[in-house]
Amino acid sequence: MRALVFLIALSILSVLPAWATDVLIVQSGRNGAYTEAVRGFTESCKGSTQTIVLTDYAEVDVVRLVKEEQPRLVLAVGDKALAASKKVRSVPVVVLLALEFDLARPAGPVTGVSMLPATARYLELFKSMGAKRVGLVHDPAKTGHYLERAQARAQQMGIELVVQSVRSPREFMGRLQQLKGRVDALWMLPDTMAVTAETVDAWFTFAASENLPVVTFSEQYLKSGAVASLDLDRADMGRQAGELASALLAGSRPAAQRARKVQLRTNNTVASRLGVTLPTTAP
Amino acid sequence: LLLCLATGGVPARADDQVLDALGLAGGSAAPVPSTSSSLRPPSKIAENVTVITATDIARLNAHTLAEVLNTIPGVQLQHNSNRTPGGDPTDFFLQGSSAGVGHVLVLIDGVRLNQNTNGWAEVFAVSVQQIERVEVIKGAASAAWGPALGGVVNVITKNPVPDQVFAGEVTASLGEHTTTDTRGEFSGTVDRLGYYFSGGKLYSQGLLPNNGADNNNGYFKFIYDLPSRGTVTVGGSIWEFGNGDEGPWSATGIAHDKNEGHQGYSFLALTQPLAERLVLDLTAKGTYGESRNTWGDKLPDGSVDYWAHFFERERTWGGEAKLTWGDSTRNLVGGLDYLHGKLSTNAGADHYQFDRYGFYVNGLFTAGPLSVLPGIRYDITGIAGDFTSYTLGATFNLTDKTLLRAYGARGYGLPRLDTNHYDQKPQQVWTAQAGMETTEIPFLWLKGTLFYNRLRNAFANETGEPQLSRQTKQGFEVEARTVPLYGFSITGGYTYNDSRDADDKQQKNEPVHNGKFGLLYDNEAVGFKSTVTGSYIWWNSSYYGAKTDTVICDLHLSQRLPVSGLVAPEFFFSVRNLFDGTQRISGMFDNAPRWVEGGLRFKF
Repeated sequence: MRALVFLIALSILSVLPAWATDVLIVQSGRNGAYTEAVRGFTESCKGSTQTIVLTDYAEVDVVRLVKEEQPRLVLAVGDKALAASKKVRSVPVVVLLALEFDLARPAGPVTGVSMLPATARYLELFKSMGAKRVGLVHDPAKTGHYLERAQARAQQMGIELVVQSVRSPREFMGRLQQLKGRVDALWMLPDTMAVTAETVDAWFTFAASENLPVVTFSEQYLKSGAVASLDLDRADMGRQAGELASALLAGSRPAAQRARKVQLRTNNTVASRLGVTLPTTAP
Repeated sequence: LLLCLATGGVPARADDQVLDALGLAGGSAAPVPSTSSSLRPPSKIAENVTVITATDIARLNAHTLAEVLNTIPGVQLQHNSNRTPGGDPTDFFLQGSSAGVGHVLVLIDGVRLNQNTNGWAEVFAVSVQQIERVEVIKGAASAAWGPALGGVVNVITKNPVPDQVFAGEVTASLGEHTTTDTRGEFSGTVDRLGYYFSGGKLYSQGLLPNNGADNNNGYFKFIYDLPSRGTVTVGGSIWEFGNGDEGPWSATGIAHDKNEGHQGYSFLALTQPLAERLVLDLTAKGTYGESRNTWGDKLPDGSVDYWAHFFERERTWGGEAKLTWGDSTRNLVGGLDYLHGKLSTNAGADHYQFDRYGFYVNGLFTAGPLSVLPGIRYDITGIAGDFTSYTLGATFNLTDKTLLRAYGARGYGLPRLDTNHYDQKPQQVWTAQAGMETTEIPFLWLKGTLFYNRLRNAFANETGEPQLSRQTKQGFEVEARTVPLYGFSITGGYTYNDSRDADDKQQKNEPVHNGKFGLLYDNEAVGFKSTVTGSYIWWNSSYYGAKTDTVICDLHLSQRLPVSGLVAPEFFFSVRNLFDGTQRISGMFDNAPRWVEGGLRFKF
């Protein structure tokens, strides 16, 4: 009994130096991209942090974790972390590197950095390439809001977006064929329904047969035949999220933002074959 | 006990093409299943805990909480074989201790479900629709929970959908003997207010004679986010049930019993951070319940001679205040409970009132790989004097993939009030448990637990006159799970329990060997899931007609259908008792032969 009392007293004392964590980082998994982004975050947000990596467990109850840890905000890194943090209501959630994060539909006390750069970035690139009609295949449930904004912007810039919608990868081939003869370029968005292991080859086979340049979201597709990609700067996205977090910790309520820094990568072989002129820096 | 990190099924992988291109795919150093079935970080739980989630429940096509418990390793339902869903009040066991004699605490939304007259919990009447997660703590947990001699079944309900104004799910199924389950939920969040409603009807003409079900239930919950970072939650549930039992058990004919009743609860809870790492929880709660049981003999001419009528009625109300100080590595939780109860029954207790108080402090101290978990609780039971429970547990991270855990505790269970032969004393237990979890073996998660429980003044499950006795229950439990390979994964568990009385004689009518397994297949690309579950229990039965030499298997299939507008339909189909086996503790409670059911689930 005496030992028990001693241990209880020890527990009480042990709580005393337990300083509060400002930011609970809920990270979807362990990989270089997340590490890079989180490093950027900690560069610009000086609050104390504590990290939970979801793939270390099969399921995490973030709401309860928040209740226990009492952080001042949660940084959700990746889609899995975003899903796990959706029910957090008591503190703000800053989202980073999550495709599902739609800044047009923020839910609850959620803000963050969207993985889709401003539509003008892509449209300026198409304009500089001389493309007047740009075709794309997408799932409205995933990238619909982004496309709505892109449509409005494209009209202002004199570009016609020829949009085909899919709700399952099985519909993809038929929709892609609908673009035949109707477009000058293809726009591949990071849409998990339109870009799958089964459809990637179809994008580039179709593009090659129609002599169409493909602009995409990752340099990984340059070797497959894409002419250009606008790649995200993950470290800068982390810094951007860190600035949002600092503003939240200071008491303001910043709105969600799009990734501000993108890097243009090009495949000059494809560009010269198609006779496409590309800018040297990202729009 | 605040639990935060849970195991569950390994989540289905979406197409990784885009994530791959963005450098976000995989995200896991290794495909490691959880190293714990607890909700805290695995290194912070000394008890043997198993968790089952709403996702797991959906793939079982389960109707009631009893069916869910039947799939959890280490939990043995007395009527474990297939009987009519919702038509079968059943007792269940953890480490040889049963809810039906007041050994296992069952909570929903933190509200005690057990009847105060005898500890029985009507888990067969609780719909699964509103369940988010079921946590089963196997072993005494009185220092945290009060009367939990043999363990705790903690049911956590769903919260409102946070990012939609309106969402929901409707399920309808039809099986043999007009066994239907129609239920639904809708939920959403508008500004700071979240809402959740569910309701349903489970009906059957009965897969066995006089084993029909006619159960209705409703549930609601509102959560309001206060500007002060706190939350206010109000919720409640009501359900009613009607069913019967019939079997060759009577001296004069066939036993023919009928049961009906209704039960409900409500609660109002405030959670408010007071300072950095200091949180106050205040809860007010109330329950009511009434059940009527009629026992009779079915005579050779078909008429029924009812010879006993029992009723019990109870109302309780109370509250809890709790302060949590610290974080998940070092904390102190202190609180007090109060419960006022008023019962009336014609089985033993007659009219009874009590006022029950509990005061507790539980702590967690972590230093490197070692965590120590002390706790103490003092209860003024109101019916059986005072009782002090305490616990001391520890966990140790041997390696990144291996965790050792152990704890010793003194705990208690409330006495049964429906047997007035004895002085009312708490049933007591001393427990010592030790175990290990590891993922050292590639693709395999393993957990093993040794348990030793010494009980005093405990009700025995022997036939005939109820007895209070000294008992020893000891044994071990092993759980295992593989990671998915080509969509296939396997789960399994085995529990051995050796219960003996003061004369070292093996206790009758308790589970001795219990094996459970699951074979799961997932094809996310086409939206298909298949699950085969199996359960075997060897009862040391003294009842007439016991038969325990068959594994009862169920097959569950589900297929996602093309999305239509905003509605996502799913077809499901189950074959229960796939091999048409027989497994029963008594001839009175035969299991149903093979039967099938199917249905549709719509999510919107």
